[in-house]
This record gives sequence, structure tokens and C-alpha cells, in this order.
Amino acid sequence: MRRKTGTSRFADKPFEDLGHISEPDVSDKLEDNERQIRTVFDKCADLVVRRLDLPGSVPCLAVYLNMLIDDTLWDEGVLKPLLNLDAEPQNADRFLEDMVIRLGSSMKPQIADNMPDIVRNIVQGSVVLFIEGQKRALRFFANTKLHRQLDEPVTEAIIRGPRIGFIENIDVNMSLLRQYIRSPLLKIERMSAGSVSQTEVTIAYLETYAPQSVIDEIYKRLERLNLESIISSGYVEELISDHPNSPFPTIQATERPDTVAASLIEGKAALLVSGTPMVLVMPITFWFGFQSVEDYFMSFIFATMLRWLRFTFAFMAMALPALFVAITTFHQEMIPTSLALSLAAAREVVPFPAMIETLIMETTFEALREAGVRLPRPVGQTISIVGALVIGQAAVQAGIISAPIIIVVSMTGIASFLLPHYGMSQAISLLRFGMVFLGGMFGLYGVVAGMIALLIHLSNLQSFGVPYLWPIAPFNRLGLMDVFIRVPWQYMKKRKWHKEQQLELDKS
Amino acid sequence: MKVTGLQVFWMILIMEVGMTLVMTLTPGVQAAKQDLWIAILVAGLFTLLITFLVTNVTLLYPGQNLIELSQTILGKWIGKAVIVVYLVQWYTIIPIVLRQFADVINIMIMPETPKWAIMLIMVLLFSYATYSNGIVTISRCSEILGPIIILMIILVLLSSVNNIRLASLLPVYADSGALNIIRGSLPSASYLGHSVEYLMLAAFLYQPRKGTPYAYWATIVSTLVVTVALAMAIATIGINLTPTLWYPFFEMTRKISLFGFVENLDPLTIVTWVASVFIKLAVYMFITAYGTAQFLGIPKWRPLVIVLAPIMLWFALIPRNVTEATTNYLMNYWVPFVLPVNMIGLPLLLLIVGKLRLRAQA
Amino acid sequence: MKRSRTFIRWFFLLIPCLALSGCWDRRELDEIAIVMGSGVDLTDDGQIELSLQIALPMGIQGNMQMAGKKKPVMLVSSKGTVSQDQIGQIQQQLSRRIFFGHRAVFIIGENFARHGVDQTLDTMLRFPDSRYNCFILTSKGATAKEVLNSPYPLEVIPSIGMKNMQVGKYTFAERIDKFLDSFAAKGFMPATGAIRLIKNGQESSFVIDGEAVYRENKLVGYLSGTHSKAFKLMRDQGSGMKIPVPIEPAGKLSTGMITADLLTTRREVRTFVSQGSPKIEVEFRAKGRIIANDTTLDLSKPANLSRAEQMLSNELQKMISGLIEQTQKEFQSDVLGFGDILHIQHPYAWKKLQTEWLDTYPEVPVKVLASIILERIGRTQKPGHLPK
Repeated sequence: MRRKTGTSRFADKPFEDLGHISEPDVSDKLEDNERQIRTVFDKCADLVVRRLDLPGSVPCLAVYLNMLIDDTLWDEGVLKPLLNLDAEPQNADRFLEDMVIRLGSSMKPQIADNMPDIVRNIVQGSVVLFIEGQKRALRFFANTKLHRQLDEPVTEAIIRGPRIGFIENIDVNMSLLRQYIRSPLLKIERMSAGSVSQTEVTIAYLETYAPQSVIDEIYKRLERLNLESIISSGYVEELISDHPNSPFPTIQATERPDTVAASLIEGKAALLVSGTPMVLVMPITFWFGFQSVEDYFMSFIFATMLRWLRFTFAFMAMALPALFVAITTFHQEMIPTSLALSLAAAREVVPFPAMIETLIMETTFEALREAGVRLPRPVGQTISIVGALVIGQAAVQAGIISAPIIIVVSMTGIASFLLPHYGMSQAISLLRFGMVFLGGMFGLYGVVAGMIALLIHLSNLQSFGVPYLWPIAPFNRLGLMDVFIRVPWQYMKKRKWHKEQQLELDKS
Repeated sequence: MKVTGLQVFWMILIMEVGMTLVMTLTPGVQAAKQDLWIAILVAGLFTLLITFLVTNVTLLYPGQNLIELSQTILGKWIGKAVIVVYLVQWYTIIPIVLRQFADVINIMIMPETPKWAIMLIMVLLFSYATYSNGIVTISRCSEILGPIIILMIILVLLSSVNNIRLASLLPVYADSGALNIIRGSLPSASYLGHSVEYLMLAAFLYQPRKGTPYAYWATIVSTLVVTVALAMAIATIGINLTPTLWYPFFEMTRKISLFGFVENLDPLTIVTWVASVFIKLAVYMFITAYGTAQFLGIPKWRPLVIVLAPIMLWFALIPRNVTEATTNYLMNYWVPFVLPVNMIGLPLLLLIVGKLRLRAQA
Repeated sequence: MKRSRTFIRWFFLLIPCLALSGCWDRRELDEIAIVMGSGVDLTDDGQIELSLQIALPMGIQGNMQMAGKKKPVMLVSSKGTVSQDQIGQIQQQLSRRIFFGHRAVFIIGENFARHGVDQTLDTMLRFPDSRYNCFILTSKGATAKEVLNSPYPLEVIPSIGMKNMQVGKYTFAERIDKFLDSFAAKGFMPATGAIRLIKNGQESSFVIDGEAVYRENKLVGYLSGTHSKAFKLMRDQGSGMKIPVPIEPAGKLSTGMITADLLTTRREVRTFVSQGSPKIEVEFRAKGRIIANDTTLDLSKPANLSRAEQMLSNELQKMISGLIEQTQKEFQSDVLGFGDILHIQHPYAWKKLQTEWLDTYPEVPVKVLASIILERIGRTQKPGHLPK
């Protein structure tokens, strides 16, 4: 009986840079097999080819890559039982099947019948057992469990809630997900991507919750992937995203299993990539950038208030410098008189026009921020203090920059840190420069035109069939329950996000 | 391309409210004086009539837009002639509105920026919106901009409450009389009559039969908003100055003074103005490009947008001054021709002939 | 989507082209000369003189900059025949562009007002920079230029001081748009506050007391004293006004006056038209409280209180009638807006009356009824300081 770990819908990517496999079939002579294997794995110092004798004097050949195998597992799980089998070479045909049945299951024994598959399995960490006289081989998974400890996700820290994050090992990640959703409806489909790296990619979703069209679409796009290696989910994200050229993310990347589990129940699909802790969730809307997992763990009043704070500050982060430049340059009558006089006095000594000044300070601030990320921790703190005090204060004293600009830029900086999702925050920071430019050239009219252009762009985006601005446009009353306010949980249940999504996809 | 009923509501609402508030106050007040609010209610009645005609026409053959409808109902040649009348309306209104828009910006906030720069930005904006996904993008934008516009208008009105002098609206009726009131209602009626575009938009609804209440609601809400806003404008500025100002609504905003330091907020109303004009022009651009393509049998309407946009910009630069652009067009073409013919007469014709046809076929 | 991508590319290509041509309306804050107050005078040789009080931002900041004793404002002026031309001429004296967006007050010189305020009015509405919330004042006994030149110790910028006086309703305040509105209306004549210079010891300063009354577009006179108070009452700016009235003859320790402070006032004007000639009746009701009782009376006794009310009502009636008479006989100008009320209450009769209202008004009989209710008398009953 063959046991499978799950049918992959589409075949795994063919091995492009395969060594020469002259014969695709397994030969029943051990020598031939050995020769083939040694040719393919030429110059691989970690290849181990070992001859065994099964009870009953059946010669076998065990082939594996040393570095990928957990020796204890191999010993205890396979060798010992193998060597202890009572030799009954009954039915030669059914010999392998018998072995599979009798051996322990922690090794997931399977039968492999062609060379390309066998080579792939060896490279993915299996041990392959060739048996004299058999045209098929046995393989066992004996992967080392080499991974780091489960730890709090660094990029998404919260105050109240679970403190586990995904790690690089895809099996551990899947088990984390399974622990959150214990239902057979949680479907997991594996495939591998990347012709050289053969990275394992898994799609997880809840059947009947996630629309089938979304899953099909994801498959289609993964199929089209034509890279040689997938090192991180970032590659996949860019390639399967609907709008890779837009600064706004149409796929969410998160490190938290609770976020992913909640998203799955909402009807979204998750993509796990082996070797990276960032799990991709899709489809998403614009408003996700303002939602944080913590909103759901605290009282709905505070959650709503926090959301509003985020909206306000996101707007400020994008528009505040532009508005400042526009108003002080074009519409001075809007400023209250005493403030206007103070601002005029502050600008007396500065040689630059307001727009240039703002652009200089914004760029400096971005540079400081980026530098702070790259530097090792103790030096990073110093830089931020140095940046703030020395550069800001000294620049004002020297008469290069005026004090109001410093205030505007620092408020903008604080505002941009408020957003929980880094991708959204980056998008808004990028657009800020364009807005300043427009504001400095056309005043408030320019800023308004810029915001409308942004709105048009957002209206055009869609994420796997769902319009990006849903549920505001197109309007959906039930969906609104989680956008501007976070309604108490008893109303949340009524929000069948996936049903609306279904309607949405039917419409479009 | 499909739109929902709510999106149609917002689109029609924005098209009607935005420009009516700003442009029709002066001619209306010149005729009806302080009874303008009555005049606008009368205009609302006109508009309800237009909406009634238009929605019933679309119900005759749901799913067909104006181009198809008029050819179905009136036959190929008369149908095409009718469409040409509408095409003239659409082709002329885009440059005129563009020009009026630039005039307002020039006069009120940025006197030295050349018109072509102001108009170029707007042309780029609405061309981008129309080109990218046609009516779907425009309707999504209007769903977001609509509430924002209404909110800003309400905020302006609330802040102006301190400045109003209700006595300015008195005496009622005595100074004007019925004839003047009707004359004063015409400019507003013609601007509020944009629900006639429903003839083209209805075809894109998910459920074309169910679009009617949205059109009615748009008309009712816009009439109410315009009535209140214009009444307040007159109450704030006074009946003597209002007829002489070009844009009394903005002037009312200038008078807002909150807490002693928030003053001169008229650039904020520019937001309302830019957003409304954007939606209006985008909708018209789409209708023009799509309609022209369908009329002439061109399979793809998108490239037409790129062709038409510069033409419109060029046309918009032709009128020599503000008066020619605004008043002449309004008084010599829009009110005497478009209002009775395009908005009332032709839909009525389509309705009657269509009903007769349906009855003959049944 | 591919299509929007191409469009975005084109869009962004055009932006730098726009930047090359420069921005047209851009004015940096340090490129504008902020006008805080402006004034128009008629000089002796018949020329118009325009004066502007311009704020100097460097003289305002105290903390960070060097404490140089710079003046916070400067005055520039120029003479000529056409006032709009003057703005261009003044610009030639200034290194920055004149900016009217923050103008707080507009002062009309007395000579110019008497000659007739004509040229300057239209610009106020037409020119996009000027604000409506600017206050308008007429100078009395001095030229507008002198008033604008006078310092004011309480505020950094004197024009702001004038504006705050007007905003706080301590003085009669009229904004530009209402002023212009009353020019256009036939039933309403313009009036503004009157500002004059006084000397406070060494310093000269200004005070806004009294109102300037216009007839059509010429200044015809000033109100002062009790009539000025009555004017404010009639224009609904009367709350907080203090009315002293003598009740009993002066004694050794008292002057016999009580002073009431008005809390709320209500003015109702009723007009009647009989056979084409109008009659006006003004009813004025006020609620007040006693703030000073400089008599020997105990006002907590009802008889005394009603006597006080009676005397106060009489005083009010005298004030208002006196004012109306002055506007009718001396100024012949309907600054109180009776014509407008006639228009509202009898619109059809007004159609005939309005053309000659200017001449008819002085003859219209006006009856005044004033009454006041004293709600409170303060914390004490009988004056505490008098010997019992």
C-alpha cells in the first residue's frame, strides 16, 4: 500500500540542472545503480553509499547525503528494524510492499521507481535503499531537524497575545498552523518551486471558506514561476502578485501563526515557503494595513480608537509635509495670523524655499532611519540620538533649516512608525515625496490632485480577484464591521467575509 | 464593466451637487433674489421629472445604453440623429467645464498660474481614471469621494451657522414673484439635470432594473443639499452683494471664523470643487469615449480616451474670458437648448415611442 | 495592469517638464510683506494717500534671535490720484510682495470719509487677497496715517490691538462685507467705529469710542456719549453695557446713582404703513443686574427695585429716542436699518417708498418703548459701607 503525504496537484518542477542520468529506470543490479548514483553525485563529498545485507542475504545499497540525514533516526528507525527483519523473501513482487508495511512509520517509507525521482529524493533528504533484484527502490525520510528555537517574532511584537512566530522550517510552521486549526477542512497542498533550489512551497487554506477560484489562481501563478532559486518568500510575493509595480502590497507577509490562522478562517489562503519565516497571506485589501492582531485581543473601544489613530497618522504621514509646504507657500491666508508671523520670522534666515527644505529633511530622516536599522544595536542608539539632537538642533542654529520644518518632519516620522504593517508604511513613505513635490508646485490643488491620483490607483488594484478598496468601494455594509471600527465579537460573527468575497468574485 | 446601484447614486450626486453649488448661485440670485431657495426646490421638481423620464426609458430595454436604446426605439437613422444631439452636448460640456474649473481656481486661489497648467493636471487625472478601467474605477472613486464631499459641505455649513442672518432671506416672494422664481430655477435645473446621464450609466448596472431608486435618491439628496447650502450662502453674504459675486459659495467659506484663529478656509472647499469636477469630467469622458466608439462602430474605446483628451484641452483654451466661458454657454446653449431638448424632450420622445413599440410587439 | 502602467509612466514623465517651467504662484513666507492694517486719507491738495502698516517678523520673535530692539511694524505710504495705482507705487518701496491676506483693519481717514468714500471700495471685493473679516474704522481727529503710525503697548502689532478691540465687542465693530452691503442697500446706511488718538502720559495710543455715521457714501458725523451707547444697543451689541442713572439727590456719602449692567437685550421694531406714510415703533427690552448701588436705598425691597427699574427704563428710552432723533435730524441717515425692516414687514409698500427713503426718513415718526428687568442686585443688599 502506498502512503502518500498529500497529492500535489501539479507535478513538481522538473530538474533542470540534473547530472546526467543515462537511464531513467532503476536497474535490478546494484552495481549499475551504484554507478549511476556516483556519476550524478560526482564531487559531492557528503554522499554516502553503503552496502548492507538484509536478513536472508539480500544485498542492499543505501545511498544518502550525510549532511541532510539525522544519523540517530536512520539507525534507530530503519537500520535496526531492517536488520532485524526475519528473512522471508516471499513474493518477489510484493517484497517491497511487505517491507513497507512492516517497517516503522516514523521514516515514512515509500517506493520510488525511477531515477530522476530517486535523485530528487536524495537531494531532499531521503535515504534510498536499492535492493538487489528489485526494479524499484525504497526511500525513507530521515531529515535532520536543524532549526532554531521558536521565538517571539521580531518584526511583529505585540503586548498581549501568543509569542510564537514562524521559523524557517516548513514542517514546524505547518505544525504550528495545525495546532491553531484542528479541522480536516484545513487543506495543505505541497509543491516545489525553483528549478535549482527545489524549495518546498505549501498552500494552506480552509475548504469551503476560501473560494476555489482564488486557490486555482494561486496555483496558476505558481506554475508560471520561472526562477532558478527561491530563497525567500519575497521572491514569490513579487512574482505572483497582481500588481508588482505598485508600491502598495497586495499580498501580506506575516510571521505570526495566529494572524495566519485567523486569516484562513476569514477565507484567505496562506503560502508557506521553506527557508523563510515569512508566510504569505492572500487576498488582502487596503485596510489590512491598519489592522493589527492586537486589535482583536483588546477591548473593542480601544481597538476602534487605535484604528482611528492609525488612519489619522497614516494620512498625516503622507500629507503633512506636503500640506505644510502648500499652505506656507501658496495659501498663507489660511494660517492664523500670529502663527504666520512666527513662521515668517523662522523662515527669514533660511536660504532654501520651503519645498527644497522639506525634501532635504525628509531624505535625511529616511537615511537616518535606514542607517539605524543596519547598524548593530549599541551603535544604532547613538546614531538616533546624534541624528536628532545634533543635526536637527545645529541645523536650525546655523540657519540652514527652520525649526517648524524639523517639527513637521519629526511628526511625520512618528506617524509613519505607527502603522503595523511595514509594507504599507513603506508605500506611504514613498508617496510622501511625490506629494511634497506636488504641493510645492501647485499648492493645495496639487496635493488634492495627488490624493485623487492615489485614489484612482488604489481603485485599480485588486488582489486575486478582490478589489483593493473593498468593502468601502464597492460598498458592502457587513464588511464594514472591521474597517473603521472593530465591532464587538458578537457582531463579528455575522461578518462572513468569505461569503462577500464569493459574491465579489462572482460579480467580477 | 459593472457598477452597483450605490455607485451610480454617488456618481450622479457628485455630478449634480458640485458644480451647481458653485456656478448657479449667481445667475439664480440675479433672477430670483432672496427666494432662490424656492427656485431651487422648483428646479428639484424639474429634475425629478427628468429622472422619471430617464429611468423609465432605461426600463424599457434594460441593459441597453443610450446608443443602443435610441437605435432600437427610433430606428437606425432617427436614432443616430438623436445620438448626435447628445454627442454635441457631451463634446461641448467637457471643455467648458474644464475651463470653468480653471477659472475658479484662477480667480479664487491661484491667480498667476496659467490655465493650461491647471487644466493639464485635471485632464491627466480624469484621463488616467477613465483609461485604467473605465466606469469601474470612476465609480469606486466616487464611492469614496462622494461621502467626503458631502461631509465637507456639511462642515462648511455648520461652521457658517454663526455668520448667517436669516432676515436676509426675507421677505419671501414679495420681491420676485413667480416668473422670476422660475427664471431663477432654470440655471440650477440645468445643472441638477445631470441625472440624464443615467441613460448611459444604467446599462452597466449589475441589475439594470433596480437602478431607479438610486437615481431618485441622488436627485432628492442633491436638491436638498443645494437648497440648504445656497440659502445659507445668501443668508451669510446678504442679498445685495451676492448677485455681484462670481462664486458666492466660496465667499461664504471665506467668512468662516472659528475660535478666532481658524480663518480663510476657502482652500479647503477647493478640495470639494476639485473632487466634484474630477468625477464629473471622468464620467463624461467615459461616456463620450465609449459612446463615440459604439456609435462609430469602433471596437475599442480605450484609445479614444488618449485621442480625445488633448482635443478637449485645446478646446478649453478657446474661450477668451470668464464671461464667454461661463455665462454665454450657460445662457445661450445649456439652458435654452439642453434643458428642454436633451434632458426633457428627447427622453420623453424615447419613452413614448418605446412604449408604443413594446405594446405593438406584445 | 499593463494599461495603467503605461499611463503612469507617461504621467511621471510629464511632471519634470512642469517643474522646469517653474511655479507661478509660489510665494515663500519670507517673500511677502504682510499688511496688518491699511488706511486711506485725503490730503489737503486733494490727493489720495494710501498707508500700509507692514509687520516685521524679525522684530517680533524674542527668544531665539538676538534681542535687537527692532520695531515690529513699519509704515509705508504713497500719494496719488487713483488709489489702486497707489498699491503699485507702494510696492516700489518694498522688497517683498504686498500681501493683504492677513489685514486686520482698514481705516478711513476723516477727510476722505467726508469727501465721499468711493474708489477704494470695489477692490475690497474684487481682489482675491483681501479678506472679509477685516474690520473697518473711521478715524476721528487724525489722519489714518497717524493712527496707523501710533504704537500700542499692549500688543506687539498695533493693528492686531485694534482688531482685538473690535472682536471682543468692547467697541462697535463692522466688517468690510457688512459695510459694503449697507452701501448697496437702500434701507441701511453704513456706520463704523471711530478711532482716535489719545495720550497716555508719554505714550500715544488709540482708543475706539464712538461711531461714525455715513449717509450714502459720505461721513456725516460721529456719535458719542450716551447716543453712542444707544447705537450699540440698537445694533444688538449691547450686552455688557453699563448704564448709570441717578435715583435720588446726591448725599454726603453717596452720589445717588445706581449702575446697571445689561445682560441680554432684545429689540423689536414694528412698522406701520398708513396711506403710504410709514410709522415706526421700537420696543426695547433688557435684562440687567445692578453692579453699583451708590445710594442709600436698599434695593432688596421691591418698591425700591421697581423704582430703580423705572428710572433705568426712562433712561434707556431717553437714550434711544435721542439717538434716533439725532440720526433723523442731524445726520438724516438711516443707520439703524429701519428701512430694511420696513422692507421685510411691508414689502409691497417698500417698493414705492424705497426710492425716496433717503429724504423721507427724517420725517418718519418713531415711538420708543424701553423697559428693563433687573434680575439680580449683586452680593449685597444695602450698601455695606454706609453707616447704619
